[in-house]
Amino acid sequence: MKLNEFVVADAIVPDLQAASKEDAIRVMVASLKSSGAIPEADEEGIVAAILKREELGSTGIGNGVAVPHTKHPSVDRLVATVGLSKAGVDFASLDGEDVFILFLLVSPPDRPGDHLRGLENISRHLRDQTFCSFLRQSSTKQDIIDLLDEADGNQPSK
Amino acid sequence: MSDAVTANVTVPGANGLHMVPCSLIAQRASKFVCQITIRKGNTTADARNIFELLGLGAAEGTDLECKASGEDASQAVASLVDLFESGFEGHAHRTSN
Repeated sequence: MKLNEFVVADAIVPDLQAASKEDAIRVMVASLKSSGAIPEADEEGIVAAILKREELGSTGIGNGVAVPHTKHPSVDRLVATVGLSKAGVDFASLDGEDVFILFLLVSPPDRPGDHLRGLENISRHLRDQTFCSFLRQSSTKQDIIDLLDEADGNQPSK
Repeated sequence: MSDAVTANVTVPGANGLHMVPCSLIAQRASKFVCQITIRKGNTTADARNIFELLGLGAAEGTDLECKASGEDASQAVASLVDLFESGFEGHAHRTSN
């Protein structure tokens, strides 16, 4: 499973303005809605489910990275978006540091394998400091898409 | 002195080693001083590193090798085996994610 197979290009938020964890999640879910990846009617439900998941333990897993996620029946395939915060967001991360890179995932409840492969793929790239560093320097959707393409081992598609 | 201790474990739970179990493994592993790795086939993860654990992409039923070397290696492996055998209980059942 490649990043560009589940990251919704139109929903990428290159300059995430969010004062809190909840803000960040709301903005990213709204962006998925605007891109048509999730139904408008389910926006609130998805935000609530992601916030509920965060109560179990922060998905801020260190290195300035958070992967908020939920399963939700409104999607029939794994969809995700990327948000980059220049200022950093307090995500109650496991290492206590602010997060700058967010991958938000929504996956169908009946396909745990897809969710796991999505997490696997994202984690493999995000443990690479060079990838994280380039990602944090990206300022446009296209920069991010190109970087994800490159990470997928593709030539950047124009 | 530091002979490696190994044990085989099987991934419980329909969701595999998703983020909650990986966090629990990393937390548990951090209580020990020895080096601990979890291996799936040719891929090895540092048991304290959530990124590497998630990077295993270990689905339900996957066989993994837990290996530790260092002064508290036996205790560490036993503790992680317990964690797997508990099905990450107390946490896993609370989340469908």
